Amino acid sequence: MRPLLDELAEWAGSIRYDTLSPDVRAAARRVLLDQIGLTLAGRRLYGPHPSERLALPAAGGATLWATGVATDPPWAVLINRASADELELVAGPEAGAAVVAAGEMADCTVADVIAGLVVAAGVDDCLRGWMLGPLEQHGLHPPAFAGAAGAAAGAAHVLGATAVETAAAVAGASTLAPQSPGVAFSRGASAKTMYGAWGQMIGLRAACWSRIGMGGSPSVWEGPRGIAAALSDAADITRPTRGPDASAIQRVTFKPYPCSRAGHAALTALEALGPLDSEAIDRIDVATYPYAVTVSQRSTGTTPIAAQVHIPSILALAIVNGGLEPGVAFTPARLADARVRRLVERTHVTVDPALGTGGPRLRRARVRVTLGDSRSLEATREPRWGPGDRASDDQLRDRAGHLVGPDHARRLWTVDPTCSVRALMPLLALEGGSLQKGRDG
Amino acid sequence: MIAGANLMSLARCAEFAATAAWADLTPSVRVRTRLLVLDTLACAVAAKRLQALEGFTAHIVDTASVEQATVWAGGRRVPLADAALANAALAHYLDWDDGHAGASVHGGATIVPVALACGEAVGAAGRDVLLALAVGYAVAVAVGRPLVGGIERHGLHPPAIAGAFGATGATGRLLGFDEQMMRRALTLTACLVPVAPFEAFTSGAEIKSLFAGWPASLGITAARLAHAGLAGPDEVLSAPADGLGRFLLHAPVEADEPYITEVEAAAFKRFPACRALHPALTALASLLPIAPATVASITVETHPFAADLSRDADDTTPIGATTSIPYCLASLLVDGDLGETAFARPALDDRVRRRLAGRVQVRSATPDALAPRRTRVVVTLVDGSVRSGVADSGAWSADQPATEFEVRAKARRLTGSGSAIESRVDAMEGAEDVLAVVEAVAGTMRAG
Repeated sequence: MRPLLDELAEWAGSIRYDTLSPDVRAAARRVLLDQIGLTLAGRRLYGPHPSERLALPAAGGATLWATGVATDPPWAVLINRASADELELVAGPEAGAAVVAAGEMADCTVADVIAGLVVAAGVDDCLRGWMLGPLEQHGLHPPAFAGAAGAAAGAAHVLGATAVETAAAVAGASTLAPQSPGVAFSRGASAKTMYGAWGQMIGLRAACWSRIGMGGSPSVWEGPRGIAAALSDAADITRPTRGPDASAIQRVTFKPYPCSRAGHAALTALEALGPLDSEAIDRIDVATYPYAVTVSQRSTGTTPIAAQVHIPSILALAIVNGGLEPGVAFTPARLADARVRRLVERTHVTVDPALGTGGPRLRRARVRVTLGDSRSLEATREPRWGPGDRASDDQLRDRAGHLVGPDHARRLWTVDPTCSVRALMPLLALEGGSLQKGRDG
Repeated sequence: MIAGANLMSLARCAEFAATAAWADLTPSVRVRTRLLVLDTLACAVAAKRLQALEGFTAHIVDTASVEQATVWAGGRRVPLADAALANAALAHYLDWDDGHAGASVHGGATIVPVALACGEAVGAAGRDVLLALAVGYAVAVAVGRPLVGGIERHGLHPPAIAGAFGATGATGRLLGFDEQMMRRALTLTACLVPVAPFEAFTSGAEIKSLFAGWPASLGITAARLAHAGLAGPDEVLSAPADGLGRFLLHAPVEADEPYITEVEAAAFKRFPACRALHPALTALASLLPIAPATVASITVETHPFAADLSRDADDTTPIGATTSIPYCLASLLVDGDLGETAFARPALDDRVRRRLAGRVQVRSATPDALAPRRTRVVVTLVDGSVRSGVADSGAWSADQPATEFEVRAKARRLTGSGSAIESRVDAMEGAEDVLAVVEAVAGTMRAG
């Protein structure tokens, strides 16, 4: 049987912007612009990510989007992606920063980057979907663990790699990808902000290295000592359940709330109940799909990052503050608010397997709020901006306008695909750097 | 589910790494540490002589934006982590660098380049670099030992994973980290350790040569990111549901303290091949000389791990060939020894060698509880006579370690008579910096 990554690479080589359907192009463009916008937003709201201190100026390298400073491309990828992470809003394949950096290195167009992102999404969807169950079972963070492969595929595509080079790049990235234990998230450690970034940095490096003969084995996933065998004891792990396809990018669902998707369905159900007086609430019961409960229960909820994956904290903060405003929703001060602590203690999260049926992206939650006067309010919802309620360009652009300013949003969302990536970079830089710190603790 | 108490506490490692002192190193440990440097540099020189990784090294140099530490091959200075990446990759290329039986780490190939690069960058004295090396080695072993069983069970490469902790420890030591900063760095490292599947090894993929280089680079970068403000969770290894131990820990193992003396257990390598093959190589070597043309067949009965690795090896590649019993035994016969030239293209394409390798049969033997790696090699000659050799372990293994004389002899053979490496390494304890050592290895490589 032909090595898996040879097949993926052949598919990747067939992708051309010109032959993509308008819907696929539009979907990839949406993901790309959203990811760029969130980096700018993160930098604006939280200030420089710690990794930015290690960046050294490097003329002719790749650009830090928010500042316009050129640095070594792997560092640009790392910092650009990490800058967005605390917002916990990034959606889509872990590849945007890598693919854009590759585009800058190769001096190509936004259209080429869009095609690269389609490749990244297809490869990521294929590999991550295949190993999702085992990764979750082992407590590893799927986007970080598998993201490097997609980033490598996308970056290699943009750099004009051959099929052999692309396979070697994806293999190399998969080999060096971070194991990324989920505990960084559940315990709220700042290391978590590196997870997507580190994988993407590896992806770009692997794409560059593959072109000079430094690559991995095309059988690294399905081989007898490969990644699938490492993760799973299942009898048949020789092939993914589905191959890569360009429509994978269309299946990306954006995040309306700045927290783990574990809480999104519950938040949407909560919103359906209308404004609530936190003091009037006696009890909150949340039933949702198994994985959401698992990750929520693992979290201590005691730090901003840990709270972003802790369903009781997520709901409590939303109720007390009238919603979750990106950049300010999860702060130590807000977590310490007595009203929030009271609600957290009164929130009970349980599994209802029936709420997770209907496909891997159909995840629902039922929220019942019992008031002090014994009335109860209940709603069951799928997450907002889910497969049945997809985010539109206007909604994403409006959010970008809210987070980074209308001028920036306009510049970003009106970019022409024929624009060179290098010409795009100066349009992104924020004026005056960050305008506020998002944390008050 | 494995209890967290069985895993080495990174907090304890951080305390150890931050507080160890030169006075803690006994004279024998100091000697062993210098031998580790010598052997590692010699292995790198041997790889360079094969023109290994030239494209990769050139890429590292060509894309460098700052000058912080020296790439040994070529002598150019590049960013700190990249220097360690390139140098460690070269040191590990032939799989001739040291190992540690208990923790299965390639401590020398990963941590020596880190210590030298960091030492060069900060202007550290020779003994500070040696101390950092011993500290890093101890940390790598302490973290790796409880995990090695699980890592191997998953088919992953223990040195690529555990080595990163040693690299972090050595870096933090040279950057002057206190205990808290060291802990931040080690916990961050734990979040980012590579997957490192063994598939890269048996398939002969070039990326396998980064199984020492990547953890070296990762350790330095994680240390610097920790200094910039990042950290992993304290429970990164032990959290029952989602700590790294959940995936990697196979069975309860009592964790041990980090010992500054651990470097004394560094097992140097007699042969440039995966250590699993060394019993077979040692058994055959005991029968030499045998003229290759007189060999009708060779049968090898060896431990399952070696047999399985060999079965899956792609011996048409330099890296894959180092896990192939037939190829390595054939080379041992043809060359009279197994050296670096066996993994150069002319040898890999040599028909005589290939025909001989085709006459080697490898079988998996039932492990003997008292000698789990016992290997028997039976050589049947064309005249019908049979010669047989048995080895319970490889030469220079933990139960028959290399002497200082043997290590120095290996290094002299690999570095050549004109090299100043040995004398400069011997002078490290009193040296104000490590530039002399770095210049010696770069100079030796330049001279070819």
